[in-house]
Amino acid sequence: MRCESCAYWQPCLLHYYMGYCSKLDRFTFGENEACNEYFKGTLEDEFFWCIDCKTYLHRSEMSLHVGHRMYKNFFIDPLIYVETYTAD
Amino acid sequence: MRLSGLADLSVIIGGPQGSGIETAGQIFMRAVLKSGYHIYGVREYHSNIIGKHSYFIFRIRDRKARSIKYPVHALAALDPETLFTHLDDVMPGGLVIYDGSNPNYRLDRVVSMSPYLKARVKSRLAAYGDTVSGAIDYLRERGVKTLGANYRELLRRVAERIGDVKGLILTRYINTIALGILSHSIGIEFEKYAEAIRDYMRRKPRIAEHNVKAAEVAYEYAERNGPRIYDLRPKEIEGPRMLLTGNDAVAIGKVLGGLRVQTYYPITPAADESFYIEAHELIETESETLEKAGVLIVQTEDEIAAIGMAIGAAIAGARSSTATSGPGFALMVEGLSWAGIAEVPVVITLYQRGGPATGLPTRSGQSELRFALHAGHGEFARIVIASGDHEEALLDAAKAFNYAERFQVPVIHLLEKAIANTLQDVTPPGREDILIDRGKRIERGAPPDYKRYKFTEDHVSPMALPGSGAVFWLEGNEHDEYGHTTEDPLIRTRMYEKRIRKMELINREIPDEEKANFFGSEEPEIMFVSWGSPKGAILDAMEELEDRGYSTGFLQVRFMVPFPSSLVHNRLSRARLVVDVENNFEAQLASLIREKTGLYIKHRILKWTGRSITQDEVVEAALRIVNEGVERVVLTRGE
Repeated sequence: MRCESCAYWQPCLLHYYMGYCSKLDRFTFGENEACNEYFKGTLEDEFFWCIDCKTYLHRSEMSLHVGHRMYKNFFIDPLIYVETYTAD
Repeated sequence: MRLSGLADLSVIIGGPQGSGIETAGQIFMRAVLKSGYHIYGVREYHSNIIGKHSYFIFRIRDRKARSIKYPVHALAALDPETLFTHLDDVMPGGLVIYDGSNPNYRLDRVVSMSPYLKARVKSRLAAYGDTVSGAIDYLRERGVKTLGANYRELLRRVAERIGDVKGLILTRYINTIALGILSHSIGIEFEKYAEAIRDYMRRKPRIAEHNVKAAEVAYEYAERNGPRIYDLRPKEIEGPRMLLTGNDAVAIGKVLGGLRVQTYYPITPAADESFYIEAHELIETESETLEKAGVLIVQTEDEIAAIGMAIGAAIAGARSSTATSGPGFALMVEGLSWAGIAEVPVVITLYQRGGPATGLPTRSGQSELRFALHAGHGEFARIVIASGDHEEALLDAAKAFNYAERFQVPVIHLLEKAIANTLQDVTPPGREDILIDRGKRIERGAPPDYKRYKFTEDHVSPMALPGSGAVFWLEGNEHDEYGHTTEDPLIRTRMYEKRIRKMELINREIPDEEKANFFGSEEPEIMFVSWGSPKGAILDAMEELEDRGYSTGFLQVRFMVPFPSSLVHNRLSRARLVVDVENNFEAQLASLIREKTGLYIKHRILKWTGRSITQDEVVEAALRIVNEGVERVVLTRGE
């Protein structure tokens, strides 16, 4: 069992191999061996985040993402605005 | 690779937008400056805000760095997309630093890359395989050194060194690691890099120390594994330097020029100028009566309101301006005409980007010269200035207020994204560089029979401010000397003439040395003519062409209105080969020169990809023109 399949783990928006563990309040690598807090996630929700396509999708679109890695949410750095430019 | 002699190297750092490229770039530039070198850094980013590929390309020199040049000496890739995107940008003997932890990552997985670029990369990698490891084989075969640093492993070390910190967002250190390895490879000392981190993050010392630890990990790794491709030995840089974007330069120029009201509606790449002013809106003064002075910044509901408020502030006596780019300026045109008929001294800073319409909102362009010249209904006097670099942008921004108030006309200050979003180290202006001239102004004690539009010999009427005791009328209709509406044909003829004949005064009073710059040989084999941001690339190309035995000259036109017709005619009519260089399709300056002087410029170097013109592009294009007789060279370099 690895962190990336744990329900507490949210993949990083920009670097797919890292993510935030909401249980431990800590960044871990998806490939890390899971800890004792591991909780198998299920995809029982309406919207999902596809790491491979970097996009949100509705449950009805799941068939277009067969084999992709999907999560209920992703992690975004709260200070990301410092790194982004006004672009409109 | 060079280990002595004059320093001149280029590097790229790239990654997903939002991943720390900005911070990394800022730190890197400071480290270079602290090492005693000049730097020029161009930001390229997509308009989607987050996730797509963005990068900084830097030029580091002993002398002033003022343009970018391909191929680069080193590339630091934060992600596979950067590696694939800049596959052909690194020179043989150069270095590519990439994440070596996933060599099998496929090009197809890079969803944020445009399908067109992906297809081009795929065809280049056809014989190698379209994976990270295929890209590395491709580079090695071309003599490029590669360093596959395992970012995950290095991040683990960073986490260990920082300690068990809850909530530590590890992704923030990838940029510090990649740039640390890059800095080591070009000879920047660790102390300079650490100092730059602490300087840039001085308000967040804890975060700064975490980053210094990440830098330690990077330097230790590079010391063991990384090739040294350059040797930037620390030295002293001459005089004080400011590291500024073009937006910052304009903002500082405006404040030093006495700006009191700035209005804006957010738009790329203009908004950063207003943000900068807002962040520094209170400034200390040396006045005995006024400890601090402020600038009022108003974010309006749209650009129509922005120009309207700026006009209102100017009428009230404040030095006022607004800043926008093409689509916003389109909305300001009615207000501009109003300022024209009402003779209001307002300044509009117009940052050109890739049009038409939304076009390429985060890229550069020079396609709005004609728009700035002709925007507005009816005929009226205006001044249009085009700055060619940061130092000009700063001083022009300050002087624009003098022109506006001295002649009571709207002033359009033209810039481009290529200046606005580019960082450069700049010499701070001296006190003598910025003088304030407020023109004919009545602040108090206005005469009882005051006429706002009094006919005068030089066609400029004394401008009374509200509260001066004057009673006056301002409107968009034709008017008499008091400002009252009239359709009388004789008054109309005279008042119309008064407004337009001011151009003769303006043309006379602004010296030719302000209107254009000339560089290089008096009787050159190749005479470049251009305006705005290509200035730096042309000057650098001239040095290279001179080294190759060609004599060169460069006429940089700075004033589009009033246009220095005689000067331009004199310079260009006796040149053997004139080459126009512009960031647009239509060669708008060449057409303006044709209109104003009758001279036709046959040879043109043009680029409208939205990316900056580079030194190597100008050199290659000029040589094609000279050696092959090509008339029009279209440039496309840069992703």
